Amino acid sequence: MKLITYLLITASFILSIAGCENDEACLSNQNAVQASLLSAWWEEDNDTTLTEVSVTGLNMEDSIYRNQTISGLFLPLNYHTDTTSFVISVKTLKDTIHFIYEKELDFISGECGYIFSFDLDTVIHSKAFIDSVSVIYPTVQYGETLENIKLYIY
Amino acid sequence: MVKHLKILSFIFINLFLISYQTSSGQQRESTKLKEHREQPGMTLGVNLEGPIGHFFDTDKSAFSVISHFKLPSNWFIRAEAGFENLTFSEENQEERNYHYQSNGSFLKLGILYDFFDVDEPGNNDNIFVGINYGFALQEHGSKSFIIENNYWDDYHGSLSKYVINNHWIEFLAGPRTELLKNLYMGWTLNLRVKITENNSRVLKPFSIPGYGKGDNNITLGFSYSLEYFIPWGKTP
Repeated sequence: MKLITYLLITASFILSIAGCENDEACLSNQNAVQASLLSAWWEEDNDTTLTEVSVTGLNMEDSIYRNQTISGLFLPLNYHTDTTSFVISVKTLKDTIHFIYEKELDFISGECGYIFSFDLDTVIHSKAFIDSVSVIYPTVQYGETLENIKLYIY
Repeated sequence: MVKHLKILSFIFINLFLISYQTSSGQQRESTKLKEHREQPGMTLGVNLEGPIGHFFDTDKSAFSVISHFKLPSNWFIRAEAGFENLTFSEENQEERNYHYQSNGSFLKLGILYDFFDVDEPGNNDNIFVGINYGFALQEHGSKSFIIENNYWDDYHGSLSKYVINNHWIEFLAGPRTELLKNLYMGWTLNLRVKITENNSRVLKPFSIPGYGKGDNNITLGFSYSLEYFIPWGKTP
């Protein structure tokens, strides 16, 4: 009996250590629309880069990007409204882009808590330098790093 | 640091079991008890899993009572009932960005087989393998939560308390030894597999009473039991 008990105790000890759970890493900034920049002058998709780009939320003072060279954008959505708007300026040109979406409260896990998931419905924009917008993946949700829209630039 | 504490405590508990196992074995041999393994009866006792768990997670308070009912041959019916209350401390609330509170109770019912076969008189030790069905009913909610936004305003919300229930199957195995006459101490290693969760709203339980971490569909747990055997009838 002793031997069997010792064996079982040892096995349980090993398993108890194996069963210790690691702390879960929680991700931040999981509410942004991911956009790629493409040239409107080509029939096929060709990545493009813009210089001196600034992006600011409509009616906001702080910039998300300030005079930067970029080939893609991360545009964070507002939790309190169903539309989020941004002013994008390239050198002296300015465009406004509006994202209209539905949002849903979600729960990630016991360690990471609550989050909002978004489903893009419509994208409206002015046409100073943005030719068109294509929504390729309308869902913005926790843990995904997929490109949501393509911005075609003149 | 917490992980080291866990390991140290498991070593301590296991050494405690080993020492008792040795001393109780010697005692049995010297007193030559005449009870036979087939004595009918049942045990009533406590599962120390909840109180021990409180040392590692002070947010949680749990307690349960346990009973083994002896059937003919080597079979036992195992029953357990208990409660678990959990409220996030301010530190955990801040770290996880939400407040959480849960009060619930659970019931487990199952069957065990004792495959420890010995002819030694007075040796009533067991090595169990078995299966339990588990059911938990709990009320939980978030008095407040925050969803942070690095650019726009953070979102502040709350979710009022509501009732959910969970069902699971538990596979268990482990030894039990008679420390003193009719007083048993044992432990089991428990593998729990969630079957269903009836939850009408978004909040997932942080912990399910009697089951463990609510996020996981499979959990591994331990039961440490201290029981008293109540005999009845005559030994067959």
